[in-house]
Amino acid sequence: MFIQLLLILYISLTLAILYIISSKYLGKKINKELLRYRGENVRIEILSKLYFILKVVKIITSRPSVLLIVLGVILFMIISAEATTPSHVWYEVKTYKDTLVSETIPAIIFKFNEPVSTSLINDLYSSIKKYLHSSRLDILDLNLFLRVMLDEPITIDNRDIYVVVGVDSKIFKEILNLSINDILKLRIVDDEYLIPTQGYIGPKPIFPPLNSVYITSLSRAIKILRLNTTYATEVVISLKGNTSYEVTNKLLDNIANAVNKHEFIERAYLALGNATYAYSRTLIPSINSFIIALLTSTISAMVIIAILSSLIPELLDLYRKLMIIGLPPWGGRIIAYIFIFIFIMILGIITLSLIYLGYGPTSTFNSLITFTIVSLSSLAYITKVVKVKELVRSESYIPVRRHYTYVVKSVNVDYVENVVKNSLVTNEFFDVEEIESKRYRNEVIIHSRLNFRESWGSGMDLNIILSTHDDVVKVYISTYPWGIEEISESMLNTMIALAISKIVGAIKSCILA
Amino acid sequence: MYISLTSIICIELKCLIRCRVTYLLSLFTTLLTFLIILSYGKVRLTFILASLIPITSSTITIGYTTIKQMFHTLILIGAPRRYLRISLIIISLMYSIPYSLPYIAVSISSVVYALLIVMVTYNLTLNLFLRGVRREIERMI
Repeated sequence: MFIQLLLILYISLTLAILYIISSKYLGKKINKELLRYRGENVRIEILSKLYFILKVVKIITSRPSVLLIVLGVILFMIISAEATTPSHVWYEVKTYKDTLVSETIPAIIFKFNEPVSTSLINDLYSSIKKYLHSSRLDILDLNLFLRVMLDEPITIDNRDIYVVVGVDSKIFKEILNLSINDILKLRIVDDEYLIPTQGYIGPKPIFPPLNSVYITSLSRAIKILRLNTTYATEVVISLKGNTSYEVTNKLLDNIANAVNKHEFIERAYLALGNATYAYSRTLIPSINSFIIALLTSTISAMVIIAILSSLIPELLDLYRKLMIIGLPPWGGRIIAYIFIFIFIMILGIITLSLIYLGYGPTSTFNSLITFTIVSLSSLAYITKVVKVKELVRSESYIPVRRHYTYVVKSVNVDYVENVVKNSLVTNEFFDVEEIESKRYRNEVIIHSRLNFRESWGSGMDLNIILSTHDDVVKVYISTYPWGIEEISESMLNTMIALAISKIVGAIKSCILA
Repeated sequence: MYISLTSIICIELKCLIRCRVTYLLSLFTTLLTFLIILSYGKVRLTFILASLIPITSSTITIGYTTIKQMFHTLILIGAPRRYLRISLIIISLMYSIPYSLPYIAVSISSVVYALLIVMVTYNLTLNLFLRGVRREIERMI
């Protein structure tokens, strides 16, 4: 209940902050900029264009659907985080030659968080024994290791000892014969060196100074550390029996169960000679939670795209209007991107960081999937929908001309006159009401009254003058459209275009013939 | 003579089918069912129920333009205000049933909650559109 109240508080606070930023801060800046522009009569700069764009973003922000986007982003990210079911997994690690675990004998190795007493180890041992019995495996040997780094040094043989390593007596005898360099290379398993490491520089381990390390038998180490009972930090259980594929799988499951049951186990290993597997307490998101994250991402992406699609017509309409008053061609996309950036990206990042604090890193991973998919899909959608329209030839409009001039070379004027008359008579869009022509020296005047067939009571008067200069014939076409009642401009334009194009087309085709 | 309530509902339903709202509803219902089943016991019911608000609203907003046109026509042909309100409640109830059904997997009470949430959200959003259209018409006059 408390978390829910906190969430409601967070959502309302986020909305309030976003509103204050958009209305107060931006509003003031924009007004100031506009005043500056009006008062001092200065040129519009890039900054003012930006303020202009932000003002448009503010207009879009005031729509109630924005609230749905905010709610959707926050809710689906939280659902995704809550649905996370992390799990532990087995993974294969490198098998080294210099390990204290035999290369041929299979073994289970447990590493503890801190030194663990024999009572707890016995408890673990008995549970493992039960599992091993079901897998038809026997325990061959049990080796305990105690590796302790001290805060306060212990003085042994006039040396300040900071690291005490206690090993089983059999192993201790073997170690005694080794040189210092060989001892440094010794590992229990994987990255667990016999001498505890202080850290790594790249892959290279850093060991404590060797004169402060004391390697001894386990019993002596217990005495030095003044422990009342046997303690261990690592346990190596050597096994006897056939480790087939099925047995190994069952064993891996049983060890995982043992780790999950006993809190003091930090890590478990299963060494099989040719391969070594490690089981970490580090949580990894499961496939199930990954599917949920994808599902919530899909739903949220669809929800947000659906909401955005309702905003798009208004945005485009606004953008078209703004283009007329000087918004640059890229302005529309910038407005849309700023909107996405504020209401999805910034909001998502804030929510993601809060989820990290509240739910932890594994849940954040799931929310990150949702956030990424939502951001990318909304960006892709916006990019696809808000396109900057280029004024190509097909989209540029030139008003229809009422007068047209055309020049024809090497043609007799009588021939052109006949062609024009014929084109008027055979025009399928007009009925010829009257047609007459008269010749004055080197000029022919044709007058015609046409009735438009598609609309009753409308038509046009045509005056065509054919004048000759040497062997050139100039054709002047003048149109006077009319209607006995009010007709639309588009119809007038259609009539003019149909009449002129027929005459010009007829002349052109006759010349070509 | 006024247009009947049944006719208004039929016109509204036809419009909601035409503007993809119904298809989106079935898609969201399927996804929601999967989400409820997969996240059962992990995600708090409050969040799953709250997620219905943006989901249902978004299904209507996708058909924003068509729905507005439909309201425009209905007002112009003289559909009474009372009938419009009643029809919206009926439509909201009809559309809230598929959304609440997946919640059977959780509990009966959650079905009722889901039904109420979706119905109220649907009704509020549609009423918002209707009010917008009415205001536009008043401005035109």
